[in-house]
Amino acid sequence: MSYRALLRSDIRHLAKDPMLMACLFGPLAIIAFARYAFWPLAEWVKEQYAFDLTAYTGFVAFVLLTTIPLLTGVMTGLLMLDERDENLIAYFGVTPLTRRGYYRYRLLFPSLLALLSSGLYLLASGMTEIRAESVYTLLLLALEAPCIALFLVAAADNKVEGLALSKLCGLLFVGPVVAAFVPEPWQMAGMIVPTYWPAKSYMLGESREPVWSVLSFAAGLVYHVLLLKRADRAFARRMD
Amino acid sequence: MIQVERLEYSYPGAAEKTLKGLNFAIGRGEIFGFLGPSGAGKSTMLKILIGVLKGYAGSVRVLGQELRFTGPDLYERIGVGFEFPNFYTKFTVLENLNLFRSLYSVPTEEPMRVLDRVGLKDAARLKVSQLSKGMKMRLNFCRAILHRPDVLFLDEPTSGLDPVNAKILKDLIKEMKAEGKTVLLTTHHMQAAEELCDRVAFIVDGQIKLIDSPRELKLRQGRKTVRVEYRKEGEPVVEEFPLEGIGNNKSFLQVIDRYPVETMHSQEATLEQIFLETTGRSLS
Repeated sequence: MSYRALLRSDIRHLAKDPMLMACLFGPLAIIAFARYAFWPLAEWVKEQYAFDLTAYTGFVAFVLLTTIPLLTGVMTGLLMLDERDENLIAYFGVTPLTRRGYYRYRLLFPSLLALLSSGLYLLASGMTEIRAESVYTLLLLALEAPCIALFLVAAADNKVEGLALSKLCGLLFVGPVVAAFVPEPWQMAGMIVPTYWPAKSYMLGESREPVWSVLSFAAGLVYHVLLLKRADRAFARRMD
Repeated sequence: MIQVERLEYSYPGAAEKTLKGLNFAIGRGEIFGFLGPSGAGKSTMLKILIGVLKGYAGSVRVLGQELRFTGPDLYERIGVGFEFPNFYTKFTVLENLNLFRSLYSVPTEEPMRVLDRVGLKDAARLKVSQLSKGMKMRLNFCRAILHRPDVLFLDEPTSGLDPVNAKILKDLIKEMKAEGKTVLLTTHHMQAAEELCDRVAFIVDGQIKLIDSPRELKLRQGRKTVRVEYRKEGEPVVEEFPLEGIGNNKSFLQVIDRYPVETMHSQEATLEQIFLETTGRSLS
């Protein structure tokens, strides 16, 4: 009941804020780009520059996929910053929703949205194959969104700072770059970037290495849970 | 409705206790005021009573439940109004009330009815960002009573309000009492406390220094005299007479009989004087 009320309020909030609206519909735009623009673009690049972009389809597909939790995470982070700036989280804490219930909703909301949008991307982008390993990728990407949201609210003092910090989240694209192009021993450096793990798991799945894909997923899962816990603690400290 | 015994609280990492062994009880239909300077422990006390801070020592029972062990159900029966009204400023008054109302599973008031009661019916479709401070405070009060709570906690309910808005809020608080609700408020404003509270507690350095009805405190701490200002041959004169046997006090009777009296007041203490005498600290 409470969550439905919050969801309704979120929808109203999104409708009033163009930036948040862009974050909500961004994933659909990405899916549309992947489905309808990538292949004609690849053809055009080949004709104009004799460069075969389709050889990197897997990499491009994953970079686009990474954008989805980034958008939902930033959107949630900005909503939370708005609510913290206006002292609403403290008020939710003295209603039957409670502060814990609020956190639960705020972490579930971007996870589910990222999971659904990423799933839709895998099904409809026309750039990816659906395999068992895709499920691991989806799960890790679903965890990225709340990590990003909590990072923003833990690190930013207000919504303006949150917007500036959201640009920093662009660094997350380093993960798939490292997983795709950096030679093995040096890849260790990329492990610190959260998006490295879903990218690695996805790419290993594509290369028909299911065992390594599962191992990457497991390591990524542990890393994401640790990140979530840390960000949650940092956020809770700021709230107290 | 509220029983507090041997309550102590320390913030993590703090060397000194913020609350040091508080004891008090508040009954049904009572308006109880916590008075004290900033940093005295009022807000900590309030945070404990609304279940936000749980790591206390001693016992705190609200509506029969020990707060340390309570869950979300408690919030169906208590209402809270923070000092600074917190709303979705981009939403309208009605949208805000509808959102907060839907967080409760108990029957709630019709928002328009409550808005009407606080004189905000015409502002229902305005965005919260368009409201004045006084209107926001009234809206804050509306939200606190939406779910018909048995106990109402109000932090500085008249803070920063002009006399008209302050009176509206004070009247609303009195209406709550008339309905049998228990109201606990914290305030810096002695006049508001005097007008509203059945009992007040002065909290200083985490301890309750005095607790009683404002009337009792004022009588107990005041001088038992009458101060008369009158004109004698055109010059202002001030004289005090003991209250005891005032009806037979010849000098007093002579003054009021012979001279034009300008003012005449019994000399009970004000709450502010009592506070200053008790604590040696100002109420800023």
